[in-house]
Amino acid sequence: MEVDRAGPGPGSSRAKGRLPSQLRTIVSERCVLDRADGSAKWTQEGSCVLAAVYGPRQAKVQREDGERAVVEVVYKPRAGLQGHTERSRELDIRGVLEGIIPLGMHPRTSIMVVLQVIQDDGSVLSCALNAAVAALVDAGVPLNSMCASASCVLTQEGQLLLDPDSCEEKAATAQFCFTFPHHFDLTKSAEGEAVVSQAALGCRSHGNFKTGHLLEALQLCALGCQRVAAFARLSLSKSLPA
Amino acid sequence: MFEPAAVLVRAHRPGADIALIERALNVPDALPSTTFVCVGDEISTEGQEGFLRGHGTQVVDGKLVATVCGVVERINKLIYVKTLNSRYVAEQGDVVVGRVADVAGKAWRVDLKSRQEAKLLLSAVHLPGGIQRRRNAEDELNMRAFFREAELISAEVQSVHADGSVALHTRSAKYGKLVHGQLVEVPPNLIKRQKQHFHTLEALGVELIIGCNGLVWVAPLRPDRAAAAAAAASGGADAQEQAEAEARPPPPPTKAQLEVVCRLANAIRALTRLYMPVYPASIMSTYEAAVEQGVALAGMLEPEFLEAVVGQEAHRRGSAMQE
Repeated sequence: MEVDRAGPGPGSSRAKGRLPSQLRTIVSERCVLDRADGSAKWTQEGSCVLAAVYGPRQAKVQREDGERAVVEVVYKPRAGLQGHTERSRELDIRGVLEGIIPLGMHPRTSIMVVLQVIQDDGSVLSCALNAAVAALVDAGVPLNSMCASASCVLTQEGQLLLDPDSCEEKAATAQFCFTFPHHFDLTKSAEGEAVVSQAALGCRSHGNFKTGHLLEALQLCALGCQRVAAFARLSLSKSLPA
Repeated sequence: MFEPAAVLVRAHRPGADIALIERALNVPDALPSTTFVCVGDEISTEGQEGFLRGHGTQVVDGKLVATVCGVVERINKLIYVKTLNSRYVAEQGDVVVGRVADVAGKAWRVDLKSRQEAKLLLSAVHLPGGIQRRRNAEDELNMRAFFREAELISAEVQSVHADGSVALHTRSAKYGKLVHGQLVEVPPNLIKRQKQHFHTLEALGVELIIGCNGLVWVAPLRPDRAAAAAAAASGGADAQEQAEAEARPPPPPTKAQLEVVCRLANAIRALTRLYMPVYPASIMSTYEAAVEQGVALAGMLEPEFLEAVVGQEAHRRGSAMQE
């Protein structure tokens, strides 16, 4: 089990001094579960999601596709049974993951991603997507590119805040969650600079906002994703030595 | 009769195994790899006229790009990315141990703990007595007489198709159903492909099958089957005698035999815990170390014995480097 921290962040709440475009402290653990092919636990200060990946393995006959792999996502809330919000999040996450996994490489197989919300303090969908990608990398599933996710909210005053916690989300006019694919440019430096693609892989928005707000939120989340990508690279390079 | 041993409960300390290995091998901090790649990184193919693309890579816009996070390995012209853990990927000629999942329409579906279930066609099994004949409808109805669901079999990979589906065959007396033994699951990355995967340890009276898919079978040696297999290999034995020898139920193993089997299985589990390669020499050295030190069966998975195993490996590597 490897644990990585992104460095001590300045206090989690805006009252304690977190800037509007600052992420909370990220902690990621890999290889948390024994029986799953890959697993990861992603914590963004108050929100924590455990992801497990099973696959690629033989798909059930009813669900198998002769030409591509089938991605199944199970999203379980912290408490209670799965409801319609959980089902719609499963569809969103499945869409994003189908964008980064080369499905044609493994026909008649299924890749199952199980996400369990352990703590919920805002930005849970981003946390879940980041955990799912870390678990896929841990399982050794071939991917076209890695992806990172960040959320932001539009407050009543018209300000955009990155990586909101649950009180900010409740008080917000609109909520956005963007996912961007990223890769590393090894020509810039030996470690590689994170290059976040201009095109978003996934966008989930909820609430009342103008087009200008959406585009600003896109830029802000791209910035957040760049930091998440740098952290993901750091945590991987430390746990895969020569 | 066995006396029930007291249950030992040990607190889980995360990272303790890695700390143990680092201490014993004197590696304070793992050095960063220069050939580590992440998903989407380009792998340099300069200085090589032609190359063979292996697992974990794909060609995008004429460039070789990694699809998994891991270390780049180059063997002659083959370039591939090695990850820490991945499912078994079948290659032609591999000896595998699998469990029958389903019996349907002239084929068995065998679970190899791989990405897809493998198919064992009725026409590809070894008939008792070694006779070769066309399989008819009666054979198809009696498929369960050969292998039923949930039984373990050893087989060889006949072919791997482009879409990843695997065809197995058991066209030799040494392959077939496995009974009266212990199965140990090992990450397939720890198993190297070698010339021999069937090992008969006559001194201990144990047979060992190291499947390339990570399933290792340890069982007491059956002298009657071994003789029949040898006779079949030399060719021309009486078909009737062979069929009888294979159909006869095995004699129940003795307590001493069972203990040896359990000790070998625990040696394999200890190597798995330490993420060390599993092959006959390493299994035997771990087994002998346990016998020399008089470690109890259950004590072979305790941290004290694991430290001894790591120390032995460090010593072996040190002396190998000095040569």
